[in-house]
Amino acid sequence: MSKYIYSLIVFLLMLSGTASSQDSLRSFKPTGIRVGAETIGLIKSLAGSKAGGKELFADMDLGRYFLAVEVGESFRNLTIKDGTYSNEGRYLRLGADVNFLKKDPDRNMFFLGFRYGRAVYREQLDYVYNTGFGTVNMDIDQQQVKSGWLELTTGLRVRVVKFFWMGYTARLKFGSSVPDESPIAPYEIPGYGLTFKKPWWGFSYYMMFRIPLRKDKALSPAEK
Amino acid sequence: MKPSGWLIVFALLTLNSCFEQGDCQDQTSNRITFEFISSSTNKPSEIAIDSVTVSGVDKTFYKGEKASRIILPLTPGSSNTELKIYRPLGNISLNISYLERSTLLDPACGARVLFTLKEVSFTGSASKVQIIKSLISSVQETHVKIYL
Repeated sequence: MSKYIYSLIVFLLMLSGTASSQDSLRSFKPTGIRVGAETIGLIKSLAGSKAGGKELFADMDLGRYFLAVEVGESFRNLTIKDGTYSNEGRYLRLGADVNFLKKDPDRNMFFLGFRYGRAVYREQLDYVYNTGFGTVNMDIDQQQVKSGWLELTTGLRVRVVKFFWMGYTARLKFGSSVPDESPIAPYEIPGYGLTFKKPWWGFSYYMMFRIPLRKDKALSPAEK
Repeated sequence: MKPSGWLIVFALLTLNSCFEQGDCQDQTSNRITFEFISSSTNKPSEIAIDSVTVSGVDKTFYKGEKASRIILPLTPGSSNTELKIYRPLGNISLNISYLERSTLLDPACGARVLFTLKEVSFTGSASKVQIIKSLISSVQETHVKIYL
């Protein structure tokens, strides 16, 4: 995990280097908070799929930097050879994004950023194990499993009408950690995905509302 | 680096992860291999065996055979297995404690159990028992040596 954290620090230093050279101290006071919901998991859940979830999103601007938080829950039920597997849990991602469209008058956003994710989840595995001298029914339920991971993110946020926004986040997920001696080797981490996919990717599509916190000074003609 | 440069790096890393797929390769086994070692020569030694029993398994193994290695099953759903080796020169009882971990390889492949030896204790006519390899993955490897 430490090599990933080191790489992430280098990545962030490089990002902040490209950003700070053109940043003025214009304003690091937040002008608004965007809150929204992830739609792909929600549609899967509503469609009665065997996997799905809900995720809420919020971010807040500090100049061209955005603090982001994503909170969600997910579930998966699988029929496997000789048994069943189920997973349900909650996750939290915290991170920051850097906006590269800083002169857009509508505050549309193309960003790069990072997240640190944590999940708490439950896994159940029920299957028939063939020992070679008979079969044994393995029925295992492990609760309060904890995992963490890192993400590099990129995406867009577009203002559709006055307060309504849409956008997506593409994620490169890596550095996942799982317990070493749990009765089930974790198969899936909510918010991350399959544990043996390293690195792994993800895609979230959000619908959001922006709540203004203060009146934003319009960009000057020179800045435009 | 320009934003477009970062995007290309990101896309390449993502593409790499797309090609990394799980498979059905099973690296697990519930068979543990014991090797009999002569304490005087420190070399494998063939011994006469009347029979071997394993707790939880309704079968007798190696009945009236001679062997320097024996392969026996561990009992899943339990944290230990008891083995009894009956032989003309004195019986040996072994208590094997282990960690078992179920692993779902893939929905189509199903789940397997991975056994890791924690401790082997013994009573009877052996001088020493030693764990050589704690992860049980192949019967070709020796997991426990029994010194006689």
